[in-house]
Amino acid sequence: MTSTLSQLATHSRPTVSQHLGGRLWSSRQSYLLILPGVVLTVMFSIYPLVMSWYYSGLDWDGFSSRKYFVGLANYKDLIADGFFWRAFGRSALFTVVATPIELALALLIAMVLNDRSLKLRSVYRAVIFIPVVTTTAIISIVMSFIFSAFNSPPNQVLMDLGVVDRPIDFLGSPKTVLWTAIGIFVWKWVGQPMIYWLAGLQTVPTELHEAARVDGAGGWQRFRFITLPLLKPFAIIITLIVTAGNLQVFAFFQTLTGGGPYFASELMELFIYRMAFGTSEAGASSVQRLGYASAAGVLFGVALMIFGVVQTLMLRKIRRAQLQQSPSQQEQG
Amino acid sequence: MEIESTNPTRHPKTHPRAVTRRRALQIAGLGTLGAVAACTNTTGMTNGPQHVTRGNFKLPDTKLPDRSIKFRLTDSGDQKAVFWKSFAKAYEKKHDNVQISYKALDWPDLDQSITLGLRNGSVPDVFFLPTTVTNGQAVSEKWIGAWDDIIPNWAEVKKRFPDGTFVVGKTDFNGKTYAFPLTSAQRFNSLVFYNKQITDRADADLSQPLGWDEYRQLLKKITKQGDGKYYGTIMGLQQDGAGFSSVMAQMGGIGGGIGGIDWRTGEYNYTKPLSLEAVEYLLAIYADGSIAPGSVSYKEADAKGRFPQGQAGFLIQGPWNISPWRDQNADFTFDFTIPPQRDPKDIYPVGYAPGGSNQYVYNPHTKAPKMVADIISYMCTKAGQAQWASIDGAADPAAFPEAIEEADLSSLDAKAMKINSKYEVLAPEPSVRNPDVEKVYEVQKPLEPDFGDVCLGLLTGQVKGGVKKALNDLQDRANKALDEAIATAKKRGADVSRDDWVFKDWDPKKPYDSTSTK
Repeated sequence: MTSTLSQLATHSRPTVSQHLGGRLWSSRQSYLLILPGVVLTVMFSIYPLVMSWYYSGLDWDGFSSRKYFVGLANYKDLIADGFFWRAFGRSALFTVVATPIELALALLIAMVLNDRSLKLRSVYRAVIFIPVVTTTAIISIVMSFIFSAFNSPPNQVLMDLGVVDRPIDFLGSPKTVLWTAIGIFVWKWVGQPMIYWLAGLQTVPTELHEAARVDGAGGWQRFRFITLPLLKPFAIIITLIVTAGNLQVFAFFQTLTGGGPYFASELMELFIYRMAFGTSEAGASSVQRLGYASAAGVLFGVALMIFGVVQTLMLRKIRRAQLQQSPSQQEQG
Repeated sequence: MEIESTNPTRHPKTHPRAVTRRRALQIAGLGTLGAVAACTNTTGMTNGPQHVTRGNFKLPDTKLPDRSIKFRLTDSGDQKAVFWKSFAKAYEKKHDNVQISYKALDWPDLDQSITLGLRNGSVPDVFFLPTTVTNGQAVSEKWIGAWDDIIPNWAEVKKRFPDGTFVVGKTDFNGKTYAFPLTSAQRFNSLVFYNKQITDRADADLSQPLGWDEYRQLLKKITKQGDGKYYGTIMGLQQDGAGFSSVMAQMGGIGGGIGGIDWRTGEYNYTKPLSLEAVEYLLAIYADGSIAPGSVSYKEADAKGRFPQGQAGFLIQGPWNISPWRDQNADFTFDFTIPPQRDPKDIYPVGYAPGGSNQYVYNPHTKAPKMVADIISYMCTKAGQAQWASIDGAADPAAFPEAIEEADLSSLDAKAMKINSKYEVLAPEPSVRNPDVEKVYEVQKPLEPDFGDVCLGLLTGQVKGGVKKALNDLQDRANKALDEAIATAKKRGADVSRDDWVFKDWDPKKPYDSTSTK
């Protein structure tokens, strides 16, 4: 038996050159079809990634011909830079707070709008989705007026009700700026996961709900034991998409707060931008620090990679658990 | 003529300018402004004898090539855009084969677009360098050309300008001039503008400089009278948290301002007692509730956009606001004075750096060198400078004092010009004495947070430990940044030392005799 298999293996294994060349040639059409994708990925993902590693080892302003290799000095400076870590922490806080709120709120809205008996539900969907397609900068500018300390509607209401005697500077106070921004951000983007949830909810068979209702299950029980388990695969993907989106908030914060006051809303992307393109009043010129900004980008990228790997491992674990659960349920059935 | 404009904002150093969105729109629609400005006395402020007719350009009869010429010019806009629009119309009328494309960019946009343009060789024919590139760096990279190479008798032309306009290390390198400062840097950038309706209601006497305490009490009174509808003062603290305290300290005797250097010793001024007092004064006004709510999140453009709407009695800003406010707000009556003084009987002037202001450079690969030379040559004449002064007013004072005398100025512009002369003096500049200092500037890491940030942090309670501790920290960090930059520049071949920042013979009340190259 063993000799037969080894004979087969020897027989069927071509030489390396025949194998590779032959495979390449026979699959030439496939390779040709993926070539544009490969070229674009190399140009716009791989090359910038590799170059940012290279730049992170330089003392370079990003445009002059003079570049100085400084090894790991930028990383050393970054590790001692309190503003970097605070921006890092704010990015993490923003993601950890905004993502669950956005997901939960979107699910709640989706469930309400999934009720076929609800009149004008398509209108409500459109109204909730409009901020998603509205330009971020426009939203931020309008919101900076709405939440202004001077003659803004929320302040007028609060002052008329006697809740405060002086207007609150929602975007100018370090205590309120990040939370106000999170509120505006969730309002703007909640329509997107809402659409995803709606798509997921529409895959839940109505017969299951009807059967559960006949068996006496209440609304919460139906949600807990029917909707939620069936939505789990969707939830994982939606969480991934929303989390990735919530880490890319540069335009939103740059136009809403500019990272202020006193860096209180400076997230990682704004920090990197400030280092790479910022100006200053020191000396006769300001200094762009592309090397330093690249190092910050690399460190943040590594953190995101770790986050991504952890998420993937968790995803696999959940899937494995689901697969193990299904046969056992079948056996029980 | 093509004119494009974004929303120009304040330059951190030599071009402290800013405009509102409305201002940008005005720039975009300036087709008739020159003529309107010439015949309209919007607030009854037209002043004295008018020697020059605004917009009546007497251009030289230069013979340009017959082919079609497209000329591109980019600067930071504001009132400059008004001039170039008017000039372009006249120039295109005289040379029918010429098309001038003028673009006004705010400084962040200018920093990004010109930086990219320098890298890929697509910069306009004439432009401003971004704040991120020093003149010396642009020269060594061959990004800009020498005016000597295209303007006939350049050495003679330079002699028309006042002392301190052309200086080695700022405008001149390797024996040639690369940066052409069209205007004077002698401009007082911290005028205290006041809303006359509000200050009259408060019975304020602003004919003489106010003392610090008088000003504080007046702000309180105005705030009380405003009852939530308006406040004592409004500020754009997110962009410039340092300006208020710094100018107070500077006019009280802190030469160079709080974030600057005392040239007599070469030491930073952060820890001087008067610096501490000036910052504490700002905090006291804030604690009084006299600063309009929202000021900590406003940029300068926000504050100056709200001021004409009657939201505050006072605003510290530059003279570039005079024309826009006057032209766009018919019901807004305003005037200005100098900042409140710690000792109104002993006022110190504010120093300005040599090398002029609004430095234009040109693309050495321009396809229209003759036209570039023709335009800049005209701007080096009294006629060109007088037109500049008439149209631009006090926003960017013309380089020739005699041109200002001949210009058609409003009374407010004329008043601002007088303040410029009285309260602005030429200060020392290390890179003039030793051009290698520019190499230090190229590598000097900006303070993070800088003085403006720290003031904002103190106001919002984010910087703990008090003013003294914060200023001590700034002093230490500023010294460290400068020392490190000097060490790095030396490693890279520059011949510099901390002594380059010491000018023992400097008197803050007198103009410093700069080394002139003319």
